Amino acid sequence: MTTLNLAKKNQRYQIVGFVGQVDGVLRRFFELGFTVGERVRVVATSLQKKVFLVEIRGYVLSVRANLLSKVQVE
Amino acid sequence: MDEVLLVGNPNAGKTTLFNSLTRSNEHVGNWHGVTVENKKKVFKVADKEFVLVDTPGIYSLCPLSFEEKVAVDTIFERRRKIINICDQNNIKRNLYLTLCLLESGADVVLAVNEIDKKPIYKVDYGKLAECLGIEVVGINAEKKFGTEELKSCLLETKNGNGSANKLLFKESQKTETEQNFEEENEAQFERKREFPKRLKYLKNLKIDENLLKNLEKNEKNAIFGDFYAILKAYERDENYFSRLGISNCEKIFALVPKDSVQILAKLRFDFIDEILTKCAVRTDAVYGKSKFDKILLNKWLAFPIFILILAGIFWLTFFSVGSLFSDLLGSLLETLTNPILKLIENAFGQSAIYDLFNVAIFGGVGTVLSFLPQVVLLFFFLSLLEDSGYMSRVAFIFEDILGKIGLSGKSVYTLLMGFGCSTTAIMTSRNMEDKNAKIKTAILCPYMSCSAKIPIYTVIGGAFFGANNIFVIVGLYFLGVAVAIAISAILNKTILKSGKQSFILEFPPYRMMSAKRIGKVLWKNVKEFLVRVGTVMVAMNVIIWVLSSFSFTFSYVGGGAGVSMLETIGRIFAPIFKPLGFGSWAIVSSLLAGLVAKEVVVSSIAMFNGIDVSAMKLISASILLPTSVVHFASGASVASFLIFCLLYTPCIASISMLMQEIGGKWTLVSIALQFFTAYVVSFVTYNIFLAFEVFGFMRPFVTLVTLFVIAISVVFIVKKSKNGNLCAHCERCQKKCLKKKK
Repeated sequence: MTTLNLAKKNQRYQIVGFVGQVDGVLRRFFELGFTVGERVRVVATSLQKKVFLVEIRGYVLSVRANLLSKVQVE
Repeated sequence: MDEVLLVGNPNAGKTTLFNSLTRSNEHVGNWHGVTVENKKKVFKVADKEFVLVDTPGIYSLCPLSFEEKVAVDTIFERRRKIINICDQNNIKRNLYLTLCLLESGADVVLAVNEIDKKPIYKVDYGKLAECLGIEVVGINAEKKFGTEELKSCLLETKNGNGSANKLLFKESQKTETEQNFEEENEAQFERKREFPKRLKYLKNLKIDENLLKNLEKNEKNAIFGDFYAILKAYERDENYFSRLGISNCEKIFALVPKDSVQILAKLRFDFIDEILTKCAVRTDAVYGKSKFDKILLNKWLAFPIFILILAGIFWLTFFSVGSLFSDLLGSLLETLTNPILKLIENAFGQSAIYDLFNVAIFGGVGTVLSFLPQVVLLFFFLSLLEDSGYMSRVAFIFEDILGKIGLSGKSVYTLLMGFGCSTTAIMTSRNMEDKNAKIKTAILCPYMSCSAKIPIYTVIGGAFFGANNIFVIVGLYFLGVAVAIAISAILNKTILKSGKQSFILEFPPYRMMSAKRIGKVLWKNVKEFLVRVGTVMVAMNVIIWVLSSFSFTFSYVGGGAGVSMLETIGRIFAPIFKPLGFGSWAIVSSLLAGLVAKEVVVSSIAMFNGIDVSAMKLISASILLPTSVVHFASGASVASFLIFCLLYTPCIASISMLMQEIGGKWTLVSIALQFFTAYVVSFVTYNIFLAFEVFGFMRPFVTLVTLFVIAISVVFIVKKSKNGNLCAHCERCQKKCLKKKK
């Protein structure tokens, strides 16, 4: 098990949980479809790997890496 | 008059539909957060009039940013009809909001926007309508396909609290699971007949008896029903409860499971998956994913490509197409105004009235009017970028850099918009979640060189730098960006510290601008420019003409017959600008006039030098003549003046927008900071340029390089001493270094 900010590019993962209390960021993640059991994939990263491009539920969105550390995957 | 709300996810096509239904030309773009405030307009269906309200994009009814709160507040304010617009290509995510709206009991019509010819999802609207229990219409907001059907739905749906939703309770539509669910919960919800039992996905919510009792005590729940209050407790939505006047939310939240928000979200998405398997067929394509991104987001190519695109826009705007059309328009204006001037001359002679028309209106305003093609082209290219979907990619590229100075990648939108108009750009800073980042972004907007400054660069810069003026203009644009970055870094370290930004941004698919949209964009910008020139510019030029042609005793002093009011005022402020190389009263007066609108700087210079439209190109030549009222002694003072114009206090419209968005205190900080920055940077530039002019190239160059090396060394030494032996890059590196040390 790892967190999504440490995930390898182009490899499929499954969300297994979330770290920390529900704040604005986690709430937004839930609304965007980050739910337990959902499959995710890191499509691209920025130059300094501080922003990730994540594919989930048939669409892509860019997310700051530090926020993705709240998403546990395996 | 009935109000209809347009509600949907960001970038679903709400404003496009708003424009189609109301025949408006509101700003649209292919990126997240274009609309930041409600827009209202009346439209007719059959003989009935409705007020259509376009709301900012939201993902759910729990707002995070200011503009989301505006939309959610509007939804909760009164029970109104809602057109929920969904992007067909991303319907899976868009339906989440639909469910949130249905849960609230809203009167919803679902409009599925079929933007592309080959959509990712092929949806059976009939089946979807059956599953959701509401009207579903397939539309194309831009091509106005399906809009008539949508309008007729508005007439059919009934007023009142969730009347459309009552389709959900049709006995015949109940499935076995729903029947069981109802029976299980019958006792618990006995007195709440409005409970939306057809929203069967909520059956797994285990509701604490104490939670119900707690919520029942609050009579205000009756507005939305107790069941909805339960859902809101599950969502831990403090905004909702504060709206009901319940301040102690924690007591309520303690009665729901810790992971309640997640549970609810999963139930909704599982239900969406279930209905989409029945109602839609999906292709393999991924929304927002494109093969072009491999190049445009490539680590090494992304920045050069972005700079090339910007350079291309500037070149086309200022030096090829833009310049060509500008010259043509200048000649056309000359042909049109000369006969009128002759008529005025014949009627009034070379009097003050002739002077007013010749110098203030045809000379001053005409000069600015000839820049219409360049301004419109710049706006057009910015719209092209917005519509293409590239802006979200730019935000992704810049997030690394901007994160370091306390901004978000989303700031790029706002700052790029600043190249068009600071006033509208400041407004878009609303879509930022972090308050400090929002204030910083708004403060930085006026540092971006807005289109109103184009005439200044072209006329004044062109006089001294000739063919090399392209480099000067591009340099000025980049200087604006560089100064903004430096200011943001300083603010981030001092009075406006921001933590790590919560950057979450959806990638829209790449799209081409349609011919119809190109026409609309061009027309909108031409119209806005002409209105601006015809109102603000004419009024300002007449005022300046009066101030510069009459003395305080109201005697006509045109043609240097005495000291005008403006000259008296200008002479008071002129000494302040002497160290910057342009301490003449006329230049200072034009800068003061530029506070109303930046274009007035050039038109007032033209007026002071007595240039009329027929001799527009002579403005550049006139400022070089020592005999002119406005003249620059050297390239150093021109460079200093251009930089001052780039950076000094924004126009009144921008100031009022700043007041609205960030409040009076920060607006004052912004104005003071801009004036100070403009003064310092102009002073430094003037002296550097002067040194080159006086001492030749080598000596000042060597001095500058030496100073630069010393500055870099000092920064390096200070950083090193702060971090000890650790690597200064990141936490991970620091951990590695610590391990090595051990």
